[in-house]
Amino acid sequence: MGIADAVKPVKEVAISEMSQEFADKFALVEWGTPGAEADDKIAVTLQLKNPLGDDLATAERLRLTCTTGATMSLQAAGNGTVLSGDDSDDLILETDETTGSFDLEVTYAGVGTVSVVGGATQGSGFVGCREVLDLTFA
Amino acid sequence: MSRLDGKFIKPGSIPQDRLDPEIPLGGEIPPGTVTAEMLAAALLERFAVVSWGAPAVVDPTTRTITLQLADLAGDPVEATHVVRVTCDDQATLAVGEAGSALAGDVTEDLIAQTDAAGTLQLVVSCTEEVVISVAVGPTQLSPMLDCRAGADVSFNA
Repeated sequence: MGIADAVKPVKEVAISEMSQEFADKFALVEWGTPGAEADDKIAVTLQLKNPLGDDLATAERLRLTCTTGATMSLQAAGNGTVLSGDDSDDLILETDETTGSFDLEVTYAGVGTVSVVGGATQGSGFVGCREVLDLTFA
Repeated sequence: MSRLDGKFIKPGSIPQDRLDPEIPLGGEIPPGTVTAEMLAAALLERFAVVSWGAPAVVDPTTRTITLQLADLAGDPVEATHVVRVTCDDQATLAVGEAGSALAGDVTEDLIAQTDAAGTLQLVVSCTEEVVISVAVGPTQLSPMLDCRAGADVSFNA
């Protein structure tokens, strides 16, 4: 074994080498595939993942904002909880603790693309929200 | 040439019994084994977790509560960091003996900075007999913050 092998663990620790307990301290927001538009509404599920790519079943608080003119809410009987801003373009939510998901419903009476972005807010943990959701309303 | 500059270290000369037994020969770390406790201190302190002390009664309408930043291993993050603190609108928040207010002092929406020990003492004032919820979040200039822990401050008699 050479010295390069001996120092390798110091310089090449990869995400896949994180323990699940460690990885579960970090939440990444991912969006599912949006449903078909019906009555000016599109349903889509937000799912938390850990850096290993596994579903992260935890209650995480997030702030969602979207294009002006559209509004956001929880799907009927959907997973998750709206904490404030229901039926508005600025929503504070908590994901379902057993699934780590939130079933979002976006309403827009116009024609065009509605963008939804997430972010950390009061009470959030380590959360990554770099994925933008674009919904096309016809 | 110093004997400490590394040039006397020959590849392959490291005694195997001096390596951490957790590190298998060949330098590979098994998947799923790295924990927060294995991170270097300089990396650990980049991730700050909010924790709370117990509220203290000052007088019937005033309580203090202390926020402490800790790293992922549970050790204090001894650094000044900016946080946003909010509470129910029946109460106000001010900075006590530790930390400093940057904006919103004596309101329900405070931007504040911990002191060099990573500590922020809050003075919560309320004239009603209720339980006030206090939440922390990241704001401009905040580090990576885990603010999932909130605090409840009771003003019930």
